[in-house]
Amino acid sequence: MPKNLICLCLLIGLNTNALPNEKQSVSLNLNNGGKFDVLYHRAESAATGIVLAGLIGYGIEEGIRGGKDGKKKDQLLSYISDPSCKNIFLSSLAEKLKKEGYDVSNSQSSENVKAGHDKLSLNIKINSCGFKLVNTDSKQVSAFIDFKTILYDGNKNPVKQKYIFFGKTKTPFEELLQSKLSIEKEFSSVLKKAGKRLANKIVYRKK
Amino acid sequence: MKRIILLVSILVIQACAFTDATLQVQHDEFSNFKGPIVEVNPLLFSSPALVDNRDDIDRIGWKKNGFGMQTADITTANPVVDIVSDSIRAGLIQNGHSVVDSSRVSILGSVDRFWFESDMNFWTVEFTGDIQCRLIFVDNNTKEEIYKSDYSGSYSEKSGGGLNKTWQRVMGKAVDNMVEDVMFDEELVEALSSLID
Repeated sequence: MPKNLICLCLLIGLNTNALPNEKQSVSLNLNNGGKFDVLYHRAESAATGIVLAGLIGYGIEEGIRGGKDGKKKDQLLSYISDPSCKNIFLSSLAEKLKKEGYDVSNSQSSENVKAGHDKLSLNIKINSCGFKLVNTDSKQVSAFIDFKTILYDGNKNPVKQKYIFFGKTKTPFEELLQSKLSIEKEFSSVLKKAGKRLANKIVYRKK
Repeated sequence: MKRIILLVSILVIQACAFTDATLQVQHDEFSNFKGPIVEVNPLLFSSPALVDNRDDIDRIGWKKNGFGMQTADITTANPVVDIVSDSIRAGLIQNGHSVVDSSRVSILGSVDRFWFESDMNFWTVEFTGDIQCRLIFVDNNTKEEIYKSDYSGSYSEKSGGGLNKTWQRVMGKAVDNMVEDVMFDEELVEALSSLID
């Protein structure tokens, strides 16, 4: 084997050994920040309205339910200092990824995110967050966040996933209102949990 | 003739709403459950011994008619505690741990919710599966509880409609997400890592 070729092989070998110490970069692209919402009456079936009066009946019933949910939303918002879906969620995601050794960058545009790139790119679309009726029998609500992701990791087919995370605590709406302090705690806790979980989904995707 | 066919179809559909549905719910064996718990040195766990602590143990959801009225039960072929226990066992094994009779860590607890909900909108129906359980991890060497937590898994999808197969898929995905909730619990990882040989 020629000496030059041996040197080249050694160099490649040295570079390959150095790879595990390099930080893997990941670009986070937020396509939609979502909005705080309360899905209580709208989480109950609107079937009666549909059957009784078709599209108009459905529209009327949904309008009424939306109005009632709006009142509940206003009640909860007065106890939440930061009702944004994205702030706590994204900072928890980025913090966890950094802790795991990733170099995190944010991108406002999804134009540069295409399949086949070596760099990891994660498109995030938050649909909504807030509180949702999770048990129509016991009328318990829970904090939630609902989002979709597309992960481009160099493979031809990006990985598309949708998530809905609920808080650990389930309480009737009136009890939640009375607890006051736990409203913000429950809300921020579910956003943090979702951010961490999404980060771990990236970290453990190939392990 | 067309009217008769239409009438028969309507009667068949209405009749379906009044018969109970039994779903074959289970985790997806091809799901990737690998999470932070894989970092813990391989441990011997006992198969989770869970009790059924649901408010309604007779069903996992209601079949509903066009008015949203509850018409029949939706149940599972296997007991819900077995479904949850089997799925947690699969998750632990996938993460490099073993589930054996003579174990280091016992898993006790309860299934608190295993519920399927359908919400009819004008064009679509939203199907939601929600599973909650409480797990208590006990060190068999000291007989002390080392960690306790509530876990949950939810999944929902909107479609033009769906019957048993769709409902099974929704509940199966909720089970997968519940297993993921356990395998991704970093506080559990800390508790298990602190076990001394």
